[in-house]
Amino acid sequence: MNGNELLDKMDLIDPKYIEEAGKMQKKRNVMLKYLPYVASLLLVLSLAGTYFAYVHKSQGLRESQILDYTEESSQNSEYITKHVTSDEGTGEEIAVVMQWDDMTDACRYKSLVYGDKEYTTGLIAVWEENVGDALDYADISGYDIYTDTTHTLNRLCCAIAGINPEAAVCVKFNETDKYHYAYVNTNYTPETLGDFISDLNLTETLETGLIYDERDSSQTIVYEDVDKSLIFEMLLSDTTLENEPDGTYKDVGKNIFEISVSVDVLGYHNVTITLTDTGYMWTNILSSGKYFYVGTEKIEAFIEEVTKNHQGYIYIYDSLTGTGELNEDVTAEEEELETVVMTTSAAKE
Amino acid sequence: MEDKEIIRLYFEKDETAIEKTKEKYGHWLKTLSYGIVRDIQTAEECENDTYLKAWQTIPPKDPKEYFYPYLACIIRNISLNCCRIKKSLKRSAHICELSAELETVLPGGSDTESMIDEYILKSTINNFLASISKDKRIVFVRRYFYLDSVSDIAKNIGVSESKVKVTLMRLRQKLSGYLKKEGYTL
Repeated sequence: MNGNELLDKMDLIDPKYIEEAGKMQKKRNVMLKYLPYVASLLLVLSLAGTYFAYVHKSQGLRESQILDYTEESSQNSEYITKHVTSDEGTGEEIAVVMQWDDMTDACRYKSLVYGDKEYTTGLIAVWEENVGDALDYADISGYDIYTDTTHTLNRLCCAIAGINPEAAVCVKFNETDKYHYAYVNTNYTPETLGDFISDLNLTETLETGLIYDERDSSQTIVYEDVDKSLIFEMLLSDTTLENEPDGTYKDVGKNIFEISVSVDVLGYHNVTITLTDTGYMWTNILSSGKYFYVGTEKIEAFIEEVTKNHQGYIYIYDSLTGTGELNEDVTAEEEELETVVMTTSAAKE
Repeated sequence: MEDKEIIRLYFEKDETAIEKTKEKYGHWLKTLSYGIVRDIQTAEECENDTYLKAWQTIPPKDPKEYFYPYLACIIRNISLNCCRIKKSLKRSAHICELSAELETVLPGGSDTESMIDEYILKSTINNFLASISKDKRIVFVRRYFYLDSVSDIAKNIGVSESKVKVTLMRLRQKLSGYLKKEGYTL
């Protein structure tokens, strides 16, 4: 067999892999095209005082990504080691940009302007029973990177039941559509913790998950099944606390405890409520940072309650999907070797 | 129209099967072929030949679970052969380059005659692909199935050409290891 024949034999590749790779498009450099939008978004996020990208990196796995685990009791340790098989990916996901015609309306139209506020798609459908009062007509726009065209629709905007329209609204693209789709105001800035809780109806909409103890930089202890009511009682009860959205301009301390939370109705999964060693509680729900000073006493009391009354685990992640070598540095030797291969093949023709 | 419904039309020898296939996949198939042959007219010829081949082979083939990959394989092979036969096509040099790269995968190179059972080769290639990350697998499949250029792959995934080249080199080395392990003999 020669190289030609092996090239032919590549049609033996499993159809699922052919299909997987088939979604890539050979088009213009989409990253360059998105650069202005990314730059604008980063500017907005930094002005809003968020460590959004940092938080996602330090997040750990979504619970839905944990496929399997085995427990091992550690001897002479208060923690149990848990081997967690995950589908976390390499962290270098290829950005596949779909063609306009292949996208759903919710994916196409990413921005909505209602009143003087701009909203971003939450990419989440809103059940009929959660659609609130009709508000007003709003312009929704989407950008087709392949044709460099901005498309605009004008649709009736509705509230989401229990949610302040200042924070999020929803629209139906076509009368025949089954669902409305949520759009969130990522610049939403509540005055107080009380406003935050009521505007987003967090007592109903907030779901809590794993809690990560990050005090010891050498290991993270994970707590499972901590009741949501404990978090509301011990951290979210003082509704007069003021939101300090300028958090990035002051040192709010080191993150010591992270509570994984979701607000599914708005499309926020696996975001966090984070506690710091200087008494701050902050969150990136609705993307921009919201900072509330709860005090070190309350935070210490919460930590004590969680650590004393819940089993802590040390998670060991066994990833299925590789080690992210795509970004490893190219060595000079490899570069030279590859040049030799390329030169030889060119000479052969 | 769902793939299984289109396949049913082939089974019933209803000629609208081809029209429906073209409607659903024509754009993708022509793009795939154009990526190989880099000539619009040739790509259209390859596309039409693909529909003919599909018509001739379904039934008994029943690719309802992976209809697009089935068509992609057909048009890929037709396009590759076009490149080899029509040496005037610019892409024939590209095909030589790809063949040369894959030659490095073969233990013993092309100078030595060797036999490899197709079944073993299929499972080796797919076991190899299953063992690597999705990102790397896409790079490999785009290069050696879809026959993309290194620069196209680099542009699409947002890394340098150098990194794509080295990734491919490492993947070829790994595949070569798999082939040796599976008893590819001299």
